[in-house]
Amino acid sequence: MSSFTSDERALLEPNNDIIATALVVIGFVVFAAILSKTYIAFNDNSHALENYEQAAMIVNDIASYPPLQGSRQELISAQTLDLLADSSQDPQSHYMFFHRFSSNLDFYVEARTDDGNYHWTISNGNTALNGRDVIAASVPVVIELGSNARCEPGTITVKLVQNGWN
Amino acid sequence: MKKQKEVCIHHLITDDSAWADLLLSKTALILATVTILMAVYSLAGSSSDLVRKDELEIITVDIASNIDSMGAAHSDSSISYLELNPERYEQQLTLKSDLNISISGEYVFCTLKENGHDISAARQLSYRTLTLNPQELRNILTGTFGADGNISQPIISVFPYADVTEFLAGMGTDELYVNMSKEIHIQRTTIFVTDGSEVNGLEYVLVYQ
Repeated sequence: MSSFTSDERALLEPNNDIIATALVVIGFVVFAAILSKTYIAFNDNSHALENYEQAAMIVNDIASYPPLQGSRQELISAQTLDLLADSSQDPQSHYMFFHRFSSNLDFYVEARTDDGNYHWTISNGNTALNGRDVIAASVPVVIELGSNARCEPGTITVKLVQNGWN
Repeated sequence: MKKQKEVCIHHLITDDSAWADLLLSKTALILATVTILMAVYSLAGSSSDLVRKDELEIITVDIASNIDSMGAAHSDSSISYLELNPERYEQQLTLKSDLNISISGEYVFCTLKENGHDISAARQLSYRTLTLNPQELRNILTGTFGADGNISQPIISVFPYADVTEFLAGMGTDELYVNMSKEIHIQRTTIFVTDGSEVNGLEYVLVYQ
């Protein structure tokens, strides 16, 4: 230690300011990198939130879609879900279900009862993932099973398939 | 002459006052300072661009969500008409600049022209949208299909109504360049089609001025 403090050869002395500048430059580069990383993360999150809001709006719309209603307004008819899930049974209803939405919006709808016994997927056929991002939003609903007014709690989920935003 | 040169070189070699060292290190310092200052300046410049882009995105999302909320309103709902004032959006901007809004059947697109470069933001619409006013739409439908698509006069078309939907999809590519001094009207409309046995309503959102 004493040899270090009493060393008067001044090896670093003439380049002191260069070392200080190098430190400042490195500090600045690190600061800029952290700033840009934070911005990228913020941008990704705000995109994800925007897309979630779109999915949430669609799922709320579908949950209150008049043809899906059962014997009462707040019930979802399992019978209609059956028809919509199999497009060959009633192509007209299936077509009308998806027609309202913009043609470049790819999504499919999943409905399930909370006990896991019943599950429906309503899709218009062009929802292959191919590495695209999926944004999902759900709402709780009550599904009316059959005509004997048996009701089960369940959820309707809309899964939006979109090209990645990165 | 030759002797003078030798003296000069000799003087340079024997000079131990390290002025060249000092000059070099100071030049490096000045260069580094200039680089850092330029980097800070451009970072500040680009962050103001980001703020402007955010403002523009807020405007785009607001217009698109208003159009989408009209599409999400079901026929039994009381809301079927909305008015937006584009001047309000110009007032939202922190700096007075040239704001352009265009709406097509698929997108809302906003552009700001600033210092010779454009900042733009786009947002996809969720519902089928046409940039026509209701009267224009009915006139076009009557001219093309011989029926205006009202419940009393549905258009005759075979399922899946490809002729009607493809025709309307073509109309949807027309862009509406928003006149900032006029209000934007958003309305939901239903075009009724029939294949002879069943009448179905195709829902569209109309955006016009």
